[in-house]
Amino acid sequence: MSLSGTGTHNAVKSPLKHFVANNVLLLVLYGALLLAFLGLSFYSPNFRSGANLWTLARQAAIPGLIAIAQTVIIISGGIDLSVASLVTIVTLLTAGLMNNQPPLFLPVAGLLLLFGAGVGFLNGLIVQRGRVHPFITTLGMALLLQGAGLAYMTVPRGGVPRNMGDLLYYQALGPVPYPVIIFVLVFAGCFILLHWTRFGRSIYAIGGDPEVARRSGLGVARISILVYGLGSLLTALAGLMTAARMGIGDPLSGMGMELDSITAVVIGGTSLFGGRGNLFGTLAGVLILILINNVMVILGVNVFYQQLIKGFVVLLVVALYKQRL
Amino acid sequence: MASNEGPQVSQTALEMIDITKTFPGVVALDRVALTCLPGEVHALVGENGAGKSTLMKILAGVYRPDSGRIKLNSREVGLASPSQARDLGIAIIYQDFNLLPWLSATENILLGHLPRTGLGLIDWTEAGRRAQAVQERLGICLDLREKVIDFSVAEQQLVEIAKALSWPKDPSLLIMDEPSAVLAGHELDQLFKIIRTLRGQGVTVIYISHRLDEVFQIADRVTVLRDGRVAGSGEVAGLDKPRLISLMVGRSLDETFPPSSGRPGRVVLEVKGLSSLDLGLSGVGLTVREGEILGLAGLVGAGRTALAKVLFGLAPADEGEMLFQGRPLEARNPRRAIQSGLALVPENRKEQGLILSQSLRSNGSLVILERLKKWLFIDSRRELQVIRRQVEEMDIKTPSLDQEVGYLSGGNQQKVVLAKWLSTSPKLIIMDEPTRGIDVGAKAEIYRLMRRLADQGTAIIMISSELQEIIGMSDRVLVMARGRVAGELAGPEATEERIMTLAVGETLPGVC
Repeated sequence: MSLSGTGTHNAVKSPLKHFVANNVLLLVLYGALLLAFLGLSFYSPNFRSGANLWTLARQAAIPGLIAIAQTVIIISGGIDLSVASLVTIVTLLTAGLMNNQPPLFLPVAGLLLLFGAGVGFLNGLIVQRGRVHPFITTLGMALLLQGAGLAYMTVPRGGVPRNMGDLLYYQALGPVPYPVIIFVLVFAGCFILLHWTRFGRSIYAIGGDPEVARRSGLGVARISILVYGLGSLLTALAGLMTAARMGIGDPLSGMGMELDSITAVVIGGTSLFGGRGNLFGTLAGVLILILINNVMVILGVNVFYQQLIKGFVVLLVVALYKQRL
Repeated sequence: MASNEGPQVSQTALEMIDITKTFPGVVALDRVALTCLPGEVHALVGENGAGKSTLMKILAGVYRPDSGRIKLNSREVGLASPSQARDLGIAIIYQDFNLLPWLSATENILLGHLPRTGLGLIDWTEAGRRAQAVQERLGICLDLREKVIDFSVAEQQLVEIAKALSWPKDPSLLIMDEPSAVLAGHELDQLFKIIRTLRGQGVTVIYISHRLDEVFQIADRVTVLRDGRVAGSGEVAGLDKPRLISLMVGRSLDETFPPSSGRPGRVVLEVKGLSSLDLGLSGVGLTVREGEILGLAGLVGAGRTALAKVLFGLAPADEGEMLFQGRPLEARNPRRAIQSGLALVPENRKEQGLILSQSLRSNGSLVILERLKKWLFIDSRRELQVIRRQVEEMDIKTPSLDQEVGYLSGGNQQKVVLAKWLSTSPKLIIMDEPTRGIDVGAKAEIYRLMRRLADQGTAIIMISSELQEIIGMSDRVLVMARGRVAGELAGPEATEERIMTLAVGETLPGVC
């Protein structure tokens, strides 16, 4: 390995110093978020209303889930460009199969989650056994799913039953919207997985250096395939939530979600090369993107300028991260 | 010494019998036999491509042999995977390390077997404790929470060794592949101390190295591989260096360092007061003449490579003057340097000297592409001519000109780098560690080549950490220490002792 530093010279840092030194980026990101938050609250009474804040949180849930999926996959050394198309087709199938019938909610949802996982496993198999680069594999899968979706439904139709819409998107437990609860649970689960299980640490290993992982006896292919499966499972869940939100099958429902998820991951400081990164960074990335959207709406700025702003933020952030990306 | 003399003991730690391994087009190992006694340090030597790494990878469970048997403690075993090898007590430390740079030392040490709590989650407290216990056993104290990438190379190697010793069951056989390649001075002593400690604990160590001096320092017995076969094996005590070399190359090398014949000509390069804050250089001055080989000696970090970078235009100097053939050298970038007539053979040929995934042909013509242009394209015919001449003059061994350079042996790779630079007909070549990681036979060829170049009038600055090489090849020796020139020694004055004294920063009596 040719990567080395100047050496620690046997110096031992205190735990606090250690934490700060290792998480500078994260602290800066959340610092910036906090500042933006406070600034906006001060400037706009609309912003700081409880309704708006919970709306923000609710809006962050779906892209947040997809970003979690993308983070785990990227840490493992891969990438998934098919998330948007998967969300779309899950939305279409949900609306089309359930067709407004409440009893079909659980069985169809369960089926579609399995379907999502299956797509992920297929991605993983092609990448690992077929030895096709993840970029190309998932790009192909994206096109495939998109085509399948369009074949199934070209204009919005079908219907998402009320019980699903309520549970997965519109209702709340007290003040906390259900999607936020779902997101928090998934976030916590994935965090524990990544940092407190051997499987999670193996994900970092295979992303960091697959050859080293292999020589150390880790089943690189097996872990990778499972990661893709997990990622797509979470994406399918996001798809169900999207269906719940829209109430109908919309062929354009997932549009742009893959780029948003990757953008959130990049802003959060996770390296696209794999082997490093964490979920809190991604969360910051998601919140920043949602905040931009919210601010645009409050200020009444044309929504198309959002892309411009997002692009600018990404470039700025990447330039600041320099060699550590 | 009789070859293939086996030890007469009842219990051997390791026996590899009749191991054969072929890769497409190449027989890597041909009925190789290796026997190790319990608790001994066994050196495995041989030229690049002799089969050492392949043999060890078979032992580590990474490759499967085509035929042959392996016995551990006189019991036959099968080594189907790295985990299986590890379960049987075989641990291997690769030359290029096997570490995950972005994870902590603790995690790297316990990779694959982090301790878990009752709930199945990782017990980080226990992990820290275990990693700490291992490093205490080795007598080192590093902050194990740091990411491995922040460690120096020597510290990383300590992490590697700790890794090998961290499994619940201690290794009974530890393989070290070129462990000293990146160490210097006291770091090497520390390594030897650790090896002796392990030997005392009954661990058998297989030590692969190019550096024959180390073999005599640390090993009990040695096995020599040549072209995939065992050329000889026996006790180190009964051997001397020439004999070992002759076993490795199959012929005796009488003149390793060709003598100088010409007299140095005009001054080609003159440097005065060169300083750079970023690189840590301060007031460096030197002169080099046509036909002269100036050896640049010093410890790792003394500033030799930094100096080379400034001369070649890879880094700017804050102060100082450089005169090339009497004219000021405006080496603001390598392109200017090359145009002026300089060449730099870099320290790390795999990363800085070659494009490993490209062919010999592409690499060889890389610097002179401008000259091979025909309108908008490259003139293939002329390119081929140039490359063919390079291969012939340098005696580069390759199956074809389109061979991916990454597959050539170290010695041949270095020849490609040299050939590439020589095509520019430079007046001054800076060579940074020109024979690092190269087998004895190829080294001799490169020495001959350097001397020939010098005799033809080319000036050479040779940076090297091998004192024998510096003393043998240089007409004059410049010693650097901590970014400054510590002293200059000419001819017979340049002894190992004097060079080292200057290199560690002490002054020599009587030397200006």
